[in-house]
Amino acid sequence: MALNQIEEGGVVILAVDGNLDGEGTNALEEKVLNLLENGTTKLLFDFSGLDYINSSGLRILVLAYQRLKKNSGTVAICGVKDYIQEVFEVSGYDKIFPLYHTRADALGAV
Amino acid sequence: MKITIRVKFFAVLLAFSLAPIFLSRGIMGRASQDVIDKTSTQTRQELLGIMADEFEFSATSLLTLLGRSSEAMQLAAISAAREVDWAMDMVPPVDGGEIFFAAGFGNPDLTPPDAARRRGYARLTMGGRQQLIQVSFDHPTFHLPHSVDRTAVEPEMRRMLQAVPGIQAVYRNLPEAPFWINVVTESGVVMTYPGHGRLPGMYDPRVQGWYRKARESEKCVWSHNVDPASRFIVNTVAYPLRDDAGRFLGAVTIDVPAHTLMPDSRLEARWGGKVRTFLVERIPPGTPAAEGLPILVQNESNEQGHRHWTSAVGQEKLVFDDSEEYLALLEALDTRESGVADVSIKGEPFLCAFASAPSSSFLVIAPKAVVAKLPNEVTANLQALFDEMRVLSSIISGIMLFVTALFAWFGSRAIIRPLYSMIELARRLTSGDFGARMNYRAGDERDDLILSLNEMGPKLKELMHLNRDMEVAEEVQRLLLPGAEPELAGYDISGGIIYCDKTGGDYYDFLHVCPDDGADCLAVILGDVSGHGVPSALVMAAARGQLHTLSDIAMAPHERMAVINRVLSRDLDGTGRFLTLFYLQLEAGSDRVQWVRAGHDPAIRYNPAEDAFGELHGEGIPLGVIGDFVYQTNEADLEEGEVLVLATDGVWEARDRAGEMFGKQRMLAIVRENAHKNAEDIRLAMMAGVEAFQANGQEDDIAVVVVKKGAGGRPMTRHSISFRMTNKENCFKCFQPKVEALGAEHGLHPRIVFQLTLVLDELITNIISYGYADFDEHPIDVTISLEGDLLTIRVEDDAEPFNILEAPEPELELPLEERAKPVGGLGIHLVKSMVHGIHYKRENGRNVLTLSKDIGKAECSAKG
Repeated sequence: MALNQIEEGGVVILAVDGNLDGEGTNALEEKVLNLLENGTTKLLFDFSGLDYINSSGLRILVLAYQRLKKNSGTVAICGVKDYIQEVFEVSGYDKIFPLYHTRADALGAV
Repeated sequence: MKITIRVKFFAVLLAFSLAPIFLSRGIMGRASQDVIDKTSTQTRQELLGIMADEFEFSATSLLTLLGRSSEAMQLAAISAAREVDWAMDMVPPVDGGEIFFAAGFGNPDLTPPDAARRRGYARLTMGGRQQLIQVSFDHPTFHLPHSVDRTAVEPEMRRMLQAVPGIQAVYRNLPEAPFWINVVTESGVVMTYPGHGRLPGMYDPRVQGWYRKARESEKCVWSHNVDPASRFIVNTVAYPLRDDAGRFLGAVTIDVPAHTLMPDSRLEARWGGKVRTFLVERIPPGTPAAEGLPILVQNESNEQGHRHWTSAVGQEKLVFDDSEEYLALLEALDTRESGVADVSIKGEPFLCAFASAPSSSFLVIAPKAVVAKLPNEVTANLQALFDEMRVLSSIISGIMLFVTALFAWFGSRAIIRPLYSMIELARRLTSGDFGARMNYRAGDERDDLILSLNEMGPKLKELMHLNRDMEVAEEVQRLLLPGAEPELAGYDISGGIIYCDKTGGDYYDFLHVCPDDGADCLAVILGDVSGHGVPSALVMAAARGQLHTLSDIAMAPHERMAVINRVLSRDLDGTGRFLTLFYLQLEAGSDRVQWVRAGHDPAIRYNPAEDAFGELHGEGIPLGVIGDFVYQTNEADLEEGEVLVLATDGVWEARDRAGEMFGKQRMLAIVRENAHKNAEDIRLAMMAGVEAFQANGQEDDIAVVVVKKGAGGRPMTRHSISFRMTNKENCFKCFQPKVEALGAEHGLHPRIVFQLTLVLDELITNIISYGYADFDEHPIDVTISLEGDLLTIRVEDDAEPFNILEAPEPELELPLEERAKPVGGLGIHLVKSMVHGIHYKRENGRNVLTLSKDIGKAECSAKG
């Protein structure tokens, strides 16, 4: 798993490539918690390069959502592959997180 | 720090040789010191005692001597008096000799011609020095007090002269000493012999104390005076002269210088120190110490210096420092005839030896230093002697230390040097120099070691070659085994072998053969050569060669066996080796199987449809035993799904820790449990079962071949993968590549691969996270199979019972904030969403979850 962090227009973009398996999830969780503690309020997960995510990975997104909601922040997701989007739909998370096709769409909306 | 063996050896040698030396030296040193101390002390004490006795003896002897000498003096005085008495009664001749006067001395005309300075006759000057005076032994001298007229007493003097020869005789018989013999008359005339001129003019003997005492006495009287002539203290013995009527006429006296009586100088010469002698008057006990003992006689003491005859001799006292000592001495003087006592005089310690007479005591007083001189010298000599011995002993010890160390050093080198050579030899052997040798003979056990080391090289070399040969043999044998599982319509076949030695005697093979009827047949062969290792492997290779050579020739199974048996019997004759073999012949698409059992255990047969076991029996002895043995071909028909298992005795004879054998019942159980699997899985399960069973490692080769009769007689289209993971490893990393590979192999859509991965991930994560009550390692078995569009996932674990179908659904319809468990159950929900069928059973303490997914379908809605 590779994790890239970019800041653009007040939005912290986390680009996740590869598999979010157990190890990847731990790394992502650490990263997200770190960002939240440092006062990030707008978080965009770019999943264009993401091949795999499991329920633990989804849990990180929920965690970010719950923390940011209290501080009037936002979490958005973009570039999700279709078969991963099914997971969001199956779990009902597509209703919680705004899903965008491209990063530009997401940034425009956020 | 590394200490070399030589130093250790040296230290041990040194310690063993030196420790006794130093120990004995230490003990002897201490003992001899004790001896020295005791000897010195004893000797000193004894010598001090001897010295004291010596002094006491001196005192006693001297007292006796003094008494004798006094008696002699008294007798002399009496003899002289007799002479005078006689002379006074005689009429003197007219020319009776010349009268010399003391006053005339110095005038040559009036001095006797023989007057000369003589040894012993001296006079103390006012400065305290002794000055010899002139004396005459031929003539006496006369002295007249001033008041006496010379002419009036001339006749008396003439008479007196007549006594001179007698007086001379007395004088000559006295001990040699400066005595004066005086004759004094009432008229004041004094005649002194030997003659001298030193009497003072004003001297009148008649007023002297001794003269007055003599006048009152009948016997000799002793007195203590200053001699007017010599100024020495003298003891004067006076004997009165009386006429027949008893009238006092005068006295004869002998002046004895006190210092001649006392033997101080002799004692000093003898003892080498200031030894003083005293004759003291005894006084009653209780007199204060400060007064001291009155001295009756002592040697001349120059300290008193200016003395004059006109002054009386002062009563000198012997004063002691310590009153207790003084009183003890007084008591001793009174009660004992002789003895010794310790006293101190003027701060100096003395030994006082005494001898007592009735009213006086004779004391010999010697400084302690003088008394102790000899004992001290002896002690010092002893000490010096012992010191010398000690130094000598130290020097000898030092030399011994040096010599011993030298011996130990070179001795250890002599012992260790071969060892170093051996180490060097061992190093060379280790580095592969097998030609290394050592030519040294120690003459003891080390020779065995050297011999072993020398033999080690060639043996190692041999072993190396053998090892290399074994590796080659192993490689060859591996190549002789079938490279791939055989393809035969209607059958699923799998075979495998695990050798316990590098090369072994077990053997299996698949061989397309020409039967006598020309059909497409596959021979499945499993054999076991007696023994292991290379010889067995060679027999196996020979048999295999035969089988392969004959494979193209059409013949019935028992004919093949007969041919091979003939050849092997010939080859193995006399070796005692043989080969058991199970020959199974399958025909493509046919249910009929044929077999020959050449001494091998029957094959196991299991029909899962009926759950029935059976065996492929038949008569036959091992190959290579009887060359012309006639084998039989047996036949049977197999049901669909029926399983045949061929194995060698390494399987059922495997032993666990308690020594129990694996046995055929366990084999049957494994076959039944795994009968639904393909042939390879059944075989693997069997081998894994044996491997897990045997505790002490593999003791025998294990070969297993499984034949499963396929459904409908068509080739299997089923593709599956099975693998085992444990809860202790990263399972995702383990199965993800396998799933990817499966997907790639069968061209599965990435979405299917993703879903398959997610399903396994969630299930396994769930098992590992919640399933185990302990911290041990647990296996998780996964089988994924694909038949057409049907994907089957089977997960087996020995975790706590958990039925996924009974797990609660997550509250997905509610907004996140309102859910009781925001994410709980999501994984299981995802799993259920991704598959079409779920089957759960709890079996033999294991959760067996079977999921099915139709990959042709787009939608998933799994229900059990």
